[in-house]
Amino acid sequence: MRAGVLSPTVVAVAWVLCLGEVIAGELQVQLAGSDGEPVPFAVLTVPDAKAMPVVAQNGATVDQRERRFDPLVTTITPGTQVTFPNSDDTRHHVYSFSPGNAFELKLFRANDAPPVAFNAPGVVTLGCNIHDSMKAYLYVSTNPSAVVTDAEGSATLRWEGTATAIEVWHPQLSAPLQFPLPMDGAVTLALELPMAWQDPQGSKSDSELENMLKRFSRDANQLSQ
Amino acid sequence: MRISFRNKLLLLIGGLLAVTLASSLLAVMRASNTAVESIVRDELEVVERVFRSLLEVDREQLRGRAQVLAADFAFKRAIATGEQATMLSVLANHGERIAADFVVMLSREGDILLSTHDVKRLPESAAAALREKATGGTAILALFNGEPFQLVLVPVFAPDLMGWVGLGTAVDESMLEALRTLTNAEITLLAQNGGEQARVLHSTLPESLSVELQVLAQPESAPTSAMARWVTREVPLLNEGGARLTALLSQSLEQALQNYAPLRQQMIIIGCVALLLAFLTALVIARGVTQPIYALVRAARRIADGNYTHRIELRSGAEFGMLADTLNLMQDTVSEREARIRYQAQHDMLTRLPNRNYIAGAFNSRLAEPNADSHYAMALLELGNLRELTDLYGNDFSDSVLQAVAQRVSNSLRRGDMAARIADSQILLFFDALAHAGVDLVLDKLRGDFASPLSIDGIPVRVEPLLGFVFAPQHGQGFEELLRRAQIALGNARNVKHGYSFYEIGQDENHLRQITLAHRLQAAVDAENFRMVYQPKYDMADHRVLEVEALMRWNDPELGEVYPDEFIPVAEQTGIITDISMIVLRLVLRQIQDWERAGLELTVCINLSGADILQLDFVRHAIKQLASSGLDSSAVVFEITETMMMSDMDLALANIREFEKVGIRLAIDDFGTGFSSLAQLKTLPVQELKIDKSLVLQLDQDADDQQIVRSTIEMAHYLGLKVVAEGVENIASLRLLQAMGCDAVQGYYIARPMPAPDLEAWLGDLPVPVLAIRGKPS
Repeated sequence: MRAGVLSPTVVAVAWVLCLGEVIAGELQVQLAGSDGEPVPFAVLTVPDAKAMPVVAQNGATVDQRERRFDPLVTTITPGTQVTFPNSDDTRHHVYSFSPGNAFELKLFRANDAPPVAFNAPGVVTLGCNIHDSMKAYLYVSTNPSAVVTDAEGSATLRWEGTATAIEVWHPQLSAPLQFPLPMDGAVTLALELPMAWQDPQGSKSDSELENMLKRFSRDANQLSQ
Repeated sequence: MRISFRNKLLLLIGGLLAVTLASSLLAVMRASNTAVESIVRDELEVVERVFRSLLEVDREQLRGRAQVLAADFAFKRAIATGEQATMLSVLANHGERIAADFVVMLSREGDILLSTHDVKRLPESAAAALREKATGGTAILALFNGEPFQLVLVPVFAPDLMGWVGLGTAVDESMLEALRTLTNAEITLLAQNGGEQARVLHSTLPESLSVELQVLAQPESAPTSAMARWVTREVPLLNEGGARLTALLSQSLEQALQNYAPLRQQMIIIGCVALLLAFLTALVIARGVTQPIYALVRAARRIADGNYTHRIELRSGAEFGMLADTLNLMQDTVSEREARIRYQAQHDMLTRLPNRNYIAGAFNSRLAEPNADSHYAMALLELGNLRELTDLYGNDFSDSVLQAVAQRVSNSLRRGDMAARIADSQILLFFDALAHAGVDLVLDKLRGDFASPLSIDGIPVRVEPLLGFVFAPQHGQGFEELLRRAQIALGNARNVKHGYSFYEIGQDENHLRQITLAHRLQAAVDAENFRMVYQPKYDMADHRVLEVEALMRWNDPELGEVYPDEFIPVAEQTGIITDISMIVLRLVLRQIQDWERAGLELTVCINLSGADILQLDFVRHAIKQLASSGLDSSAVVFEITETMMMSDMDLALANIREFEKVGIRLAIDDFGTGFSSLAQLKTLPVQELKIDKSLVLQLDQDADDQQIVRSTIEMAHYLGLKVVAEGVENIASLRLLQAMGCDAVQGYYIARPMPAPDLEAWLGDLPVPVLAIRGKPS
């Protein structure tokens, strides 16, 4: 059991205050689901945020560990090279049919796969053809404010320029949701989403079938040689 | 109609068995029909489950295939291209691979992108599954353009939901055939859209039958004969927006009943064999029962005929043996009782002597004997003092006396003689071969028997036997005739001192004539078959006829002329005399009226019996008659004899006074024969005295008679009575009477009694002797 419900202790620091409008800000947002539990892996953006000079991103990594993509959601800027290492002892076949960013990385082992560049903004859905339960998302956006909520469902939004709303994207939401930005200078915001967090990649443990296969198969490696 | 026991038994056993067998056969058939129908219904229930399960399995297989398709990476990649031509070809390719009849591609939201059929929208059940984004997809039965399909919709993930792929297979005859092969039930698929009539989509049945069966899908439809042989189960498969899909599962009852046909045949064969056996058994049993019954019937008939000697022997069962024994016992008892009854019927239980019937029978059989003596005698014995003994000692005692007498008499009988008690106190003795000449011997013996007194209860009793004898053949032949004559003889014996009497020829005839007379007299009274004659009374003073005496004449068609001297005593005995007197009174009154009208003045003397006088009714009636006739009371004179009045003189006197009151004159008739005292004569209110003709007939020759008549006349005159002499038959007597002062005379010398017309003529022309009296007055 988790150690109680985290009280929405929000610390807000006024970054720049302009007359009437929030022209630059920092807001700690706490997301909770309809069941009151924190919602991780939600991408928060301030849509009206002024594009800041893109910080050069050296690349991102989406690891494959225990038949799961890790992390589930990654925000990247367009053109970012994403590396798909393989920390498992099985092969994976990572693919995406997302428009503009479709790719396939076939059956690699260890870290011998070249990074993939994602140029088109939008959400890239990642899957593994071998393991149907594996799922991950790349949030390709030019918006510098995009942040991902942590395991506690909280994230700190920073933006420049005028902003009136917060947009929330989550794999479990069929469409992004927008919430009005608090105008009273509050530095914390608690939001409730009409969903309950569920890990889309399912159990981390091996499936029972796979366990059985492991137990009774002599040498599965021989099949590929 | 009488049905023999055998036939009854046959009918009963055969009938019972037949009914039992028939009903059990019927019951088995009904049960098997019901069972078969129930089994078929149950089977159809199973068939329904199988059918549903088959559809389900079929769908699940389809779903499996669809899921494999949806998971195919190449398929996903082709779909992901978004190129229509690529999508079409990949759908067609995969659809054919899994032998689908229907393929559809849907967007993530459920909009139809590609379809093999013209489908506007999906069924609601499918749409719901899409909305819920059911990861397993949905497998349903659906109607597209009126055709049933097994439809599977599965999502395509890459790895998020990319869209839906739908695959369908038509539910057609091949599928129904497969089910029929599996379940042996016929299946008809019916589709109905809205209010339309159901229509047969597919059927394993021939078309004609399936059309009929579909009627079942219609509510309120009576099953036709063809359908009655089918059991049908309606399985609703689909009802969506007015579109209905129904499966009719049906099984032929006849076919199902085929399995029971051998059972039915076996039952019929068993029934026939059982009937035959029962028939034979009944025959044997009936034989076993009827044979002894017939034997017993023959025996019972023998007993009914009075043959009690035959013993019944039966070799049958205990019951019949018992019946035979009982019958034997019965015939013994009946025979014994019959003997006892016969004895009782023939004997007097008190004296143990034969009774009248028996002796009559014995008498007749004695006469019937060929060499029987024609001479025999019968004597009726009566105890003269039995009545006194009874009065003295009572009935029981007199019974004992009779017993003792019977005993004595029986002991003294000779061989061939008989004694019988024929009445309470009479014993009839029959003496064989006894003629009148030998009767003294018998009398001596009987007297000897009763010489010593009987000792009854220690009391010495001397009996006085009275005996009336008859002797055959001279005194008669028949038993009854002889007995009757013996009674007459006994009657005579009562009046003689020595106590016995012999019948004399003719006694019985007198007796019989009196009986006949009594009968005829009644008839004559009923018919008023009497006529009156009148005898004149010549009045010596007036020298003319003032009175006539009315006398009766009875001419009976059978007996001829009967005179009052004979019939009046009989009439007095039988009591009919009063009726006769009334008739006489009526006739005489009418005659007097006639004479009065003719100007003839005559007083008529009418004889009344003493019995009449003793009846007040008669006296009053006579007075009334006279009054109503309108005649003067002096028109009649009632002549009465003294003898009959003597029995109740006071009553007679009182009644006579009634006559006196109304002025009717009375005469004493037949004076001189009775014992009437002069004192009585004095008290009687009579005006006239008639001297009996026995004193007058020989008056001229008998001095005693003259003396009596003279003194009677004198005495009568002294009492103030008028004297009339009857029976005057000669002039000498007449002269004497005239000299004695007799007031009137009556007799043949004057005139015989004559009918009224003759009397009238006689009066008009008086004969010489009468005139002669006048010529010589005293």
